[in-house]
Amino acid sequence: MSSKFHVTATEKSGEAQLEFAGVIDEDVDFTQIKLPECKVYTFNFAGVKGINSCGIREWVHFSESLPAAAKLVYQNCTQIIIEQINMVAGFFRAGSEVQNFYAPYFCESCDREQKVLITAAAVQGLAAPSVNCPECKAEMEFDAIEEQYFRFLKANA
Amino acid sequence: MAPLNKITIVSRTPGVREDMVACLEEAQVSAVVYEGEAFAASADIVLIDQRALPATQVESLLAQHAARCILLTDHDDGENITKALARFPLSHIIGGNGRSWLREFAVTAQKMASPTLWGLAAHLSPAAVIESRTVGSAAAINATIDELLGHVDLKASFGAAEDFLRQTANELLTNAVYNAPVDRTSQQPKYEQTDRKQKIILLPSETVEIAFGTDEDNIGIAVSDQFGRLTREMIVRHLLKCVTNTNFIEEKRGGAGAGLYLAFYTANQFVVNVEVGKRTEILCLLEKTKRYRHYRTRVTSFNYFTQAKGAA
Repeated sequence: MSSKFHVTATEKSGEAQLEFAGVIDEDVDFTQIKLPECKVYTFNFAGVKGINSCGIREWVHFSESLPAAAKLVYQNCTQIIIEQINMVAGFFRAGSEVQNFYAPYFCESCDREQKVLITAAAVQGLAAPSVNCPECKAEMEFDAIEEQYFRFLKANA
Repeated sequence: MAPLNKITIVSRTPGVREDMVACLEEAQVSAVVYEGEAFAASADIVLIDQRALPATQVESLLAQHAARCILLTDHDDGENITKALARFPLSHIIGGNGRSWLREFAVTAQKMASPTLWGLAAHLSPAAVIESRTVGSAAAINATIDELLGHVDLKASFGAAEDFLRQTANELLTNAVYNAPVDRTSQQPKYEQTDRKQKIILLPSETVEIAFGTDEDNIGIAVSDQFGRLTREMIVRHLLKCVTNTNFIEEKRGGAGAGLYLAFYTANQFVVNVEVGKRTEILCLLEKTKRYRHYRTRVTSFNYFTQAKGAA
């Protein structure tokens, strides 16, 4: 495994949990992850700092190599991961689910951006959920274009 | 005395001519500025303000004068690639909703008249802070980016800007290290099909320069190689492939065939300077903004400048 990238993998009752940290690039070797065949694979992207085009290719190969009947669940997707899901076919395997992800919000009164972890279920009709500023408690503005940022939800299982 | 550029502006946006004249003066660009399509045939530069012109008039102007045009547009990037860059020999697009598009226009006009202006300095204010490094091996790419990013003040930028800058710098450097070098005799690519896991070491005549620079409005990355092989047609073909087909990650030997598009997609200004057969420099600039929405809705500027070898 690349020294820039770390995976913590566990398995329990046919469900695999993989936590990623670091940069997904050409040096990442997902084939080194040894797990029994599972029904569900949950990927936690919270620690992913970056990705490049060769890393995207490695990821697509890895997700395609998992059993076709297995469900893939994406958790804690950072903004750069959401951008790749929306832009690159195959990054998000058909039938997969993004459970939750980070979205940018902005508080006008505090002049501050906040990355908020929201669930896919909280996005109704491509409308961003209402979130209050943790400092001043005022309602924050969703700071992306809903149609662009939530595009992946159309394919969400 | 500096050459006097003849610029004509075709626009229906009130006050644009006055704003442009003032901006050219401030940037000390020598120019005589006309207004209207009637002057297009004799102008050195034709500025088409697409924001308020009928599509048929824009197409007609591009069909006649594309090589001398600057397209000022608020259309989205996909349309600019498919309907402007891919159809006409156009090399200059300015995002009409950019915060400093007037300055971009002045720089573009200046460089069209004198395509010998290299580096980030031409695109940033005189007070800009610019740090550069030489990269001599693939193994040094990520460490160099991290070190340079440490010098960049990101306080005025949205949170994910650092991730996007890192991704852009990585793609540009990887392309410059693996794709740019050719054998000087055969002109055949040396490392293009090398597995990216194999960390090649470059010869001194193949090393790559990277710079990060910031001013009050922008953060910029510049990556240059010593080969000057990147043509406008190669870039447009690549962008067109990626924008018309989301399945653009390639299963070929070497890279994934998406790096340049990812860099373009991430940038607010994408600028390529080429001295044919000698050097290529790609610049990606991001506007400083705390608002991710502003960054994402900003139309990406595209500029391709070329100069003949030794014309400086």
